[in-house]
Formats: sequence, structure tokens, C-alpha cells
Amino acid sequence: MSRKIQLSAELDTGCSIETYDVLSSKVDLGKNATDKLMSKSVLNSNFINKSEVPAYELSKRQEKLHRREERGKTKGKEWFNMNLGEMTEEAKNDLLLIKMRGGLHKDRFYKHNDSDELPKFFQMGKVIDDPVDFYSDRVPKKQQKRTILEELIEDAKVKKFAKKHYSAIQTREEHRRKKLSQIFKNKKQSKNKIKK
Amino acid sequence: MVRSSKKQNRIKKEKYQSVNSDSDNDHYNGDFDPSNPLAGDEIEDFNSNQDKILFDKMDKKSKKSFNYSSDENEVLAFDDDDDSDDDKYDEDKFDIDDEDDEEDKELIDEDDELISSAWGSKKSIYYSGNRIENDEDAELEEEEARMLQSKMMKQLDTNDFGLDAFKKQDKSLKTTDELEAKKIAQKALGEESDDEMEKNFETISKNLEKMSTKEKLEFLRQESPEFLELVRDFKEKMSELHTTLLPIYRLIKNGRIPSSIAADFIMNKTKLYLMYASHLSLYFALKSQRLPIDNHPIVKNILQFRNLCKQIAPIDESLNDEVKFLIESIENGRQLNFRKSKQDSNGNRAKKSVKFSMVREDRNRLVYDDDVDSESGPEMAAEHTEIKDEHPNADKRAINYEIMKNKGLTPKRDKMYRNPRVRNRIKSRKALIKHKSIVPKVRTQDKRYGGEATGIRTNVVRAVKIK
Amino acid sequence: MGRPDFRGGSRGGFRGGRGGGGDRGGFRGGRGGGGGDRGGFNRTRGGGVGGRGAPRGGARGGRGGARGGMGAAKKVVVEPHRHAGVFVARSKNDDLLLTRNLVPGDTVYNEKKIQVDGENGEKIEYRVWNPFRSKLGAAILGGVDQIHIKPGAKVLYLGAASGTTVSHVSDIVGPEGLVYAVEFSHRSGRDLINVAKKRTNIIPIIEDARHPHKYRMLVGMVDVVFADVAQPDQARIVALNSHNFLKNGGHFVISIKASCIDSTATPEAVFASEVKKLQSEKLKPKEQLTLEPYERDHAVVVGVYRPIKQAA
Repeated sequence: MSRKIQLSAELDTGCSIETYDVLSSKVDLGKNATDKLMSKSVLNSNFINKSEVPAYELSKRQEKLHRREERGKTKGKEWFNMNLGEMTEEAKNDLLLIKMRGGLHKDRFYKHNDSDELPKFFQMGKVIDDPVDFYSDRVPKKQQKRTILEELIEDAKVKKFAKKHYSAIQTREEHRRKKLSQIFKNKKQSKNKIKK
Repeated sequence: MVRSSKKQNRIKKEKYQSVNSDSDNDHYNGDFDPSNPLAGDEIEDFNSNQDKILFDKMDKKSKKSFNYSSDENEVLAFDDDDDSDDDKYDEDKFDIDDEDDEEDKELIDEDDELISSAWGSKKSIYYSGNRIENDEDAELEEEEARMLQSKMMKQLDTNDFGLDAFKKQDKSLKTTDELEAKKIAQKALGEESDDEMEKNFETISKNLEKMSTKEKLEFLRQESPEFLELVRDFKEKMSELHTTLLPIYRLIKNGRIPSSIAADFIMNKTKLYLMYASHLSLYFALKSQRLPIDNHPIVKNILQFRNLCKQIAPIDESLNDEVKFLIESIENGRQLNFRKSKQDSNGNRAKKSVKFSMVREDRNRLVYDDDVDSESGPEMAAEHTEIKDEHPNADKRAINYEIMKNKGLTPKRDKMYRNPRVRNRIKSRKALIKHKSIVPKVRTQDKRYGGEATGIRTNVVRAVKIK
Repeated sequence: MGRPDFRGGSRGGFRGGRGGGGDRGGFRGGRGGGGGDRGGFNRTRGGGVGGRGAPRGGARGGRGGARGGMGAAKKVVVEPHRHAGVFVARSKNDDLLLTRNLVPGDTVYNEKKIQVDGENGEKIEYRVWNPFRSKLGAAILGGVDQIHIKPGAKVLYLGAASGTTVSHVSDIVGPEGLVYAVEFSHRSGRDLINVAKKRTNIIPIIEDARHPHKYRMLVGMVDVVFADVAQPDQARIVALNSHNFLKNGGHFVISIKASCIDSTATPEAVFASEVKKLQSEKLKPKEQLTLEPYERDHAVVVGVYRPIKQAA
């Protein structure tokens, strides 16, 4: 059971004392393999310049904030993590249209909107054709539209209604204008008379 | 313009000659002196004085003023004054004026040059320099302004010469018109018309009657459209004064007609008419002399008088019958006995304003009693009674719908209550509608489900809580 | 008031009645048949009699859709509903109730589907929930406060029938949840098993719900009991199952068909008596809702079982 015993100082640990003498050593901290590995580490080249050791984990409060932020991006798992809708110009128009569709259907009385604001979470989808659909229920590919607004513009019923409504408003306005102009004319005349 | 001015000069000369020839006759009254006014009228005196001052200020020797002064003589010749001295004075004056005119022209030319040199052509000199530092400056400015004004007036005169020729003709026409009017007035006032004066006018008109009467009228209408109207009014008023008002006025003055509201009214009316006539005559006088009367206070007064005449017109009409009757009886020399009217005491109330009397006059009629004439009396009486009978009829209201249909105390009922079956039907329909709003009607799906036609509300809870 | 139902008066005037004659869009003709089963569609429940009819396809033999041709809406906006796992699609004309399809591409009763392009090119599919075919769907549209069925929940579904509503419930609970679908009728049980073949979160049980001990080995503790059995002893069945499988503080949702329990009494009286029965079985009803205009004389009662007293 005799063993050769070596002094610990003689043991080659793989690094010399100079390695730890950070302040005096001329270690090249530039482009070597270790730096690459340490790129995500807190102990980077300018670590010595920092006044305190940075926290490895976020504080509870910050974590909470972060979580909240993350949570706000989706509707949560109860709605299968529905994402925030991308509010493009088209999407906005479509959402607005849905809010105001009551004005374009004279045969229906729509229920009130849930809120005055546009929804935050939404997805733009389309109804899938299925074999049960009757012919008239299907829309040929050529006639399919990109947005709800385009669909609405092409809707024959809505078109007709809108046209009628528009012309009615126009005639009414014209009548009103005529009346107003008459009144102004009369006023002017009477004013002139007074001047004379 | 040159030619026209020459023509004017010629016409003017003719005019002067005619005037001079008139003045040769003793009937021409050189009544230029305003201190010797028309029938001692203070207002007219004042006016003419004012005019004189004005003209003097403008230009003492301006032709226009002389022209008109000579014209003034013509019209003011109505007065009976015979002043040969004045005539002479006039003649002298004319001579002087001719000389002065020439001098004047030279002076004006000089002035023109002076003014043009004194005043710059720049706009900035005239504007934004309105600061007067001391009295001297103010005086200087005033003087300058006066000079400018006088210059302007002179220029105006020369410009106006173009029209003078025609205006003179107008004048002659006016004078004839006025003569007629005056004659009537004098007649009305019981004065004798001056035949000689008439002749005088005729001579003038003869001289000036180179134009046709139509043209003259046209000119007159153009120049002063109100003139003919006023002349007609004047004639009317004078004739009325003469025929009706003055006789009654005299009777009232004599006390033969007792004082009543109607009598007061007649008095006031007479006074009003006389005032109006006098104003009109002054107006004509001014007009004939071609004095500027646009801003003359007399125009305003005439307007006022006219309005007053209009205002009393309705009362006039209401009194028309009685007045007629009175005049007839005066002409026939009947004796009139007047009963004291009820409103006599009221009549003593101040009747200063005609307007006030107008209001009351409708109610307070002249009550009279005619003993002599039995024919016209009852007629009038019948009229009165008729009026009295009509009034209560007018006050009565017509029966209304309720009385006519004998609705009486029947309360107003809804049409629905007439038929119980119909009423129930309507009731049930209404109830159903109400019910539908509470419990939606069950509907079946007879075609493929396409969605909720009226939208889905996600945040509405309508379940009933159970405790 | 004299209004014969349970609805609060405060809601008066919201639904339908805009006055005037006629119904609003969607109402077509009167109701066919008496107060029995829903028109033509023979859905058996809880061992009820009657075979399975042909699946109802609305488009068949009709004039097609009323808003056919260019009027048909193709594009929709999908929004989350107030209830977890439920969505709403809005088009230019109509609104649709949706659940996210657990098995994309699959339909259960020829319902419409809506496709959405999700992030990273994934296809999300939603199925339209027909309130005329599902009491739960009707309850949601009617405005029930809570359904307690949500993603990840375990649900015991009594009277699953051919599995139309069960499929939507399975959609809602998602892959993490479970639906124990109990159906006594073998005929509709076949369809239910077919549905369950594709949806792994459904456990079909072809047993009588009156005997929970027969399937106690299959069913664990559940969060929610849903019952649509349409039997006179409905309250007892629900109570029995709740005692066996429902956790304390779990919830129950019961659809009551008045004519099945007592066809002579008024629906309101029947509902009231059922509520009483439930209360005697430690089931605490919390809310009630009638299912007009989708069902006649139906009510849904939602409550809590052995409510846990919350520590103050």
C-alpha cells in the first residue's frame, strides 16, 4: 500500500497562478474559444469595471412585470393562446365595418356592440366550403374577396340599399340647400332694400 | 360744352331782357331784399336770409346767385308792394354783375394755378397728416378748405350752365302752374287776384314757350317728380278750404255752431290746411327761383303736413255726411239747432294733437237736430239706427261644433272602444308584441344554420340568479 | 308583472321585440309538430326511443340559403367569447358561435368550419356551434353567466346522444381535458363512439346513467357534470353521479325539459320543482336560464356541488 506522494504544488492543475492574477496578467481576452463560450456569461471582459455583481436572476417584481407583459401578448391558455390581432388598415376597416353593419341592413336590427373599442384579440378567417353547401351558398373562387369590406361592397343587397339610401340623402340635402339659398337670397334682398 | 354755354348765354340774355322789360312795368317787384318778406312770414324771412348768407359765402359775385336772385324777384312779385327803388337797385346790380363776372373769371384762373401749385399730386400729402398742433395751423387749414370749397363751387357753376337753359323753361312752366294755384288760394282766402301780375307772368311764359308743353312736362317730371303731385294737392286743399272748411270755420267762430269735438276737429283741420297751403306756397316760391330746397326744412314740414292730412282722412270720411249736410244747409240759409252732445264735457279735453282726436272721433259723432228739414233728418236717423243694429250682430259668436252636433256632456272616447271584438283583437296584438320582447318566440331551424342574424353579444348575462 | 317565467324583468325589451308586426330576420314560419322532439331530428337521449334519422342538412332540397350568391359571407373575424374555449366569428351579415376544432378537418354533424391562418403557417380550424342542436350552445347564446367547462377541465357528460354537443365540449376542454360521455342508447352510442374515435379526450360510456357504479371504474373525479338526459328522475340521476364523481366545489350544468318531467304542469312550475329537488341533494343551483328562442320549454340550471367555504 505504498504510494508515491507528490506535493500539491507539483501537481499540474492546468493553469498557473498567473491566470488568476487578473490585474497584472496580460491575458488576451480577445478572440479565443473561451470568450465565445462566455459570451452569455455575466463574467465578461468588463466585469471588473462593474461596481457590483449583476444578479443572475431577475427580481420577483421584474419577473412579474415580464410575465404580465408576456401574458398580454396572448389571450391565455383558456382561449388556446390566441394572439393579438395584427391591426392593419384592412383589418381595422373590417372591424369597423362589423361594428357599423347595422346601418347597411334595413331588414335587421342588430344587437348593440359589446364595446365601443375595436377588439384586441382577433383572427381573420374564412368559411370553408363543404360538400353539404348548396350551390348558391358557395362562392366561386373568382368572386371571392380578400376582405370583408370588399365583400360588402359587392353585396347586391347592400349595394341596392346603399344606393337608395344615398340618393334619398342627396335629394334631401339638395332640397335643404335650395331652401337655405332662398332664405339667404331673401335676406340679402331685404338688406339691400334697407340700404337703399 | 362751349357751344352749349354760348347758347346759355344767349338764352340768359333773352331772359335778362325779358326781366328788364318786366321791370319796366311797374308791376315788377324787385323784392330781392329779404328784409322785405312775403306777407311778413318770419320763417321765410329767415330762410331767405340764410340763403343769402350762403350764397355770399360761396361767391358774392357768382352768376348763379344773380340769376336766381332775379328769378326770386319774379315769384315774390305776388306781394302788393310797389318799390320802384328796388327796381332801380336791381338794374344797377345787373350792370355791376356783368363786369364783376369777367373779373371773377380771371380771378378763378389765378386761383386755379395757385391751388394746383400749393397742393401736391401725391395722395400721401392729403392723407395721414391730420394733426393740428396749434390754433394757427387750424386757422390756416380752415382757410385753405374754404378756398378749395369756393373753387369747387365755381367749377360747379360753370359746369351747370349746360342745364340752365332748360331749367329756365321749367321755371316758366312752374310759374304758370303756380299762378293757377295761387289764384285759387287767393280766391279761397277771399283776396282779389292781381290781374296785372297775371299779365306779367304771361309775358314771361310767352318768351320762354319755345318748347312744346309735352317736353316741358317731361323736364319737370324728371327734375322734381313730387312737384306736380304737390301742385295737385295744393289745388285740392285750397278748393276744400274754400268750399267747405272756411264757411264752417266762420260759423264756429261766430258761435253759431256750438263747440263740440267735431267742431274742434273742423277748426284744427282748417288750421292744418292753411298751414299746409302756406308751406306749399313757400315751397313753390323757392322752386320757382331754383333755390336748392333738397335740404331745406320746409320739405320736411311739408312731408309732416301731408302725413297729418293722411291721418285725418278716415275721420274726415266719417264726418263727410254731416259736413255735407251742414254746407247744404248753410247754402240754403237754413237755421241749425244743435243739441248738446253727451261727449261735450269730454270734448273740452285738450285736443292738441290731431292724432288723438282721430281715435276719439270715431266714437264721438256730431249729434245734431234738424227741425227745419224733415226729409233728410229721418234718413240720417235711420242710418244711425242701422249702424247700432249691426253692431250687436257682429259681436255674437257662431255656435260651435259641440252645440251644433249636440255633443253636450258626451266625453271623448277612443275609436277603439266602439267595437269590443276589435278592441280585444288590438289588445291581444299589443300584448303579444310586449310578450315577445320579454320571451323571444321559439323558432325552428328549417335550413342549414347560418349564424345569428342579429349578432352575438358576449358580455351580456341574462340568466336569473337563484338564491 | 305577471310574467310567467324566471327571467328578470330588467331584461325586458332586449330580445326580439322591436314592436310592430312580424319577427325579425331568422324567423321563418311556425313551428312544425307539437311540443315533442325537435322538428324532424330524432335525437335520442338517455335511452329514449327512436332511431337516428338522416342527419339534417339544411341545404338539402331547399332554395338554398336566403343569402345565397354574392351575399354569402366568406370572410370572418374570429374573436374570443367571454366563456373560456369559446369563440365568436363575425361576418358582414351574421355572427357565429365557434369552438376551436380539436381534430382539424373533421366534422361531426356537417357543421360549417372556419379556417384561420395562424402563426408559423399553422392552420387553425374552428367549428360552428349550432344552438338549435345543442342546449349548451343555446345557453351560451342566451347569456348564461358561467358554464364552468373550460380548457383542461374534466367533464362528465350524461345523455351524450350522438355526440354533437360532446364534440364541442371536447373542443373546449382541449387535449388536456377529458369528457366522459355517458349514453344508454346503443344506436346513438354508435355515433358517439365514432366521434370518440377521432377525439381522444372523449371517453364514451354506453351505460345507464342511473347506475353510476357500473362505470365507476372508468370515470375519475370530475370538475363539471353536464346532464341532458330528459328523464323524469333527472335530478336524482344528476345527484347520484355528482355524489360519485363530482369533486367538492365542482359544478353541474343541467338542461331541464319541462314536458319530459311533467307535461301537465306549466314549465315554470316544473323548473321550480326541479330546482327544489336539486337543492335537497346538496346541489346548489346558482342560476337558471330558459332557452328561447332555440328550445321550447327548456331551462338550463347551473350550480355548485358542496361549495367549499372560502377561507376569509
